Amino acid sequence: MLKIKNLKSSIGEKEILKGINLNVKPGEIHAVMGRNGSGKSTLANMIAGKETARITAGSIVYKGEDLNEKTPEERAMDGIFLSFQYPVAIPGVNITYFLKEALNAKRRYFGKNELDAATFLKRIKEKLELVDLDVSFIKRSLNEGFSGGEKKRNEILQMLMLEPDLAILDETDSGLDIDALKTIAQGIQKYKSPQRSFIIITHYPRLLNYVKPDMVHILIEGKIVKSGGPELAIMLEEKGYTWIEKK
Amino acid sequence: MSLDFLKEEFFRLLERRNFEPDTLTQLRKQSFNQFLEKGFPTQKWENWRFTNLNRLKSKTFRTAGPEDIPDDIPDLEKYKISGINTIVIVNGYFQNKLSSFPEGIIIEPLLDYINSNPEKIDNESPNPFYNLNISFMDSGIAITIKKNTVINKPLRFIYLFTSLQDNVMFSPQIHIICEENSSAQILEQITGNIKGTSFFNLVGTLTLSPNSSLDYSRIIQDNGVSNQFADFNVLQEKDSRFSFFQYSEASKISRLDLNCDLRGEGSECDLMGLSLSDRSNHSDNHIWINHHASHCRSNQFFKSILKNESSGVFNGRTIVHKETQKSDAKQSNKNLLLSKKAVMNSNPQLEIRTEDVKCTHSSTTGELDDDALFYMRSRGLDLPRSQALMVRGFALEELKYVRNKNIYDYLLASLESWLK
Ligand SMILES: Nc1ncnc2c1ncn2[C@@H]1O[C@H](COP(=O)(O)OP(=O)(O)O)[C@@H](O)[C@H]1O
Ligand SMILES: [Mg+2]
Repeated sequence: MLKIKNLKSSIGEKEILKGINLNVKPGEIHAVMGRNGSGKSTLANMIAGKETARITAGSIVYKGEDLNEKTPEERAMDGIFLSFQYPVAIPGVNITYFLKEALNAKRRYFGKNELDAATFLKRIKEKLELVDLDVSFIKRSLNEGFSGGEKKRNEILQMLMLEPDLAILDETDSGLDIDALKTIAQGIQKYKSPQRSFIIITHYPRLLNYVKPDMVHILIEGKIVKSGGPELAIMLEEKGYTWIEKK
Repeated sequence: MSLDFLKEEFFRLLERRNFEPDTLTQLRKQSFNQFLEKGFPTQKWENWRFTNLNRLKSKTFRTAGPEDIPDDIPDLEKYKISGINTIVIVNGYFQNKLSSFPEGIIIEPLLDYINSNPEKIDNESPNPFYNLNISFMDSGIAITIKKNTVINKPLRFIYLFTSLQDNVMFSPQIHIICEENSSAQILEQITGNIKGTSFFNLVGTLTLSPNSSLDYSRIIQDNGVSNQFADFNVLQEKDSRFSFFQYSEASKISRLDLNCDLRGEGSECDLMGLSLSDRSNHSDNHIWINHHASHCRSNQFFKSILKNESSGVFNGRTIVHKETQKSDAKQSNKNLLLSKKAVMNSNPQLEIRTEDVKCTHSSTTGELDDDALFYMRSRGLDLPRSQALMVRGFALEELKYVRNKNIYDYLLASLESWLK
């Protein structure tokens, strides 16, 4: 599904990613862990097509195609989804209007006709229930005045509606209380399938107690210094990052 | 427009209107002299620093005459807003057959009103366009909302322009008197298929008696070819509530002077506007509020969206006078630049001469936020669509203050077609 080879990137003069290798197969869940500032969001944003960081070496190949020349919207059409660490507020654009536009853009791309209002509403109501949000929520402007939990639920709601093949969740678990965390985990569990892959970025192993990863990668200063099975997350919880750094 | 030409036009007007009573003729003459003393503003004037009037001054505008009454009835379907009454004025001429009137409101032609209340016209103004209007005032209405009357249906007067090929000057006046405990919504619309460059120079005098409420909106859609000047003076007595909303689509030059005097305790005003500018058009909003009494609340909230090489000015000033208490004053101006060549001058000012006041002011001018654009694109919207949605959202944040659903829907449709 996703093959990242020796990816290096810089923001301005500063090198952020220093040779990342990552191979995600269909149906797999990969966890990327690391401290603040290690480059996790940069990696996520680059897969989704943000141009803040510039590729200096290596490649990102998705479904057999190099992503380098693709716009963020083309990547979205091809099934990439990023749940943002810090979703931005977009005043005056309400969730319903926005999701309808996004969904229909995707349907048009695949030659399907647009969803009628009733079907859309039925579908979004089902998904709202999954992430434990009220119907009135979708009348609100995107991320405006949302609590931390609402922002993250809204990201998962969009994932459930847009049905991506590769979902990258950038610290979707941060700042959530235990109930919200369970709700989010439940959303991910429901969505999991043998065709769909996840990259779960986090710096706490907490979420991984609910969503079991196939692989765990530890990112330190722009490099994956260690990869392993789920037991790596448990070790990390017990011993902290210094344990790896010392090695 | 040379002053000599204006003088000739003025004498022609006096001749044509030789039936008018002497008081009115004198009023015109006085005003015209005041105008001549000041002349057109230049950019050296403090209140006109960012507005270049050369495009207006270089043209000549004749006054409208009976020959401008159109032969055929214009198609009003395009401007239909359901659930409201409409008074139709075509090329400056009132159209009785096309109009519908609400009950509980007295509507008089302006000149009748002035003849019976000559003292109602105030000749003093720092604004030469005001003096010019009084000198040339042609069409106009006076509306009185009777004591204790609540008018539920909005009343619109639509200034419709058709088939004018050359440059014409219009000088209408609007007087609205809200008597005690009355309430009304009034909508002014300036629109039509404007071809020649017209110069529309309007004066509005709005009086709100104790505990009255007036919701006044303006819609200006002139194909971006006319010059729109308006000078509104609002007087608010005790516990009155005034709200103002201007939706304006690019005129060549548009200038709004809105002066709101909170004279009576407990009076409140919300002054809002959305200016949409494109090409090389220029829009200028001067919003003045005076808190003369205690327990008053005022709010200015203006937005503009500027495309291409257009430019704009927001100059808001709220003065909270000495010896007033518990005042609440807010000012906000937000501008979205959609082109590198668009320019905005924003200057919200609070002038506080007392201690007991709660106030905030803010001003932001910028381009579309890259992070927000990336967010939308990452969901599959292409760049133009993402931009369109954001711009629409920016405008909706202002438009949502239009409380009447039918007027809101009409404006939303206008906005969407402007954005295309
Ligand atoms: N827009 C930016 N401009 C400059 N530096 C940035 C920018 N975004 C991130 N960085 C830097 O890149 C590094 C990695 O940041 P980030 O990818 O956000 O880390 P993480 O998500 O792991 O906390 C940090 O040193 C951060 O300061
Ligand atoms: Mg991060």
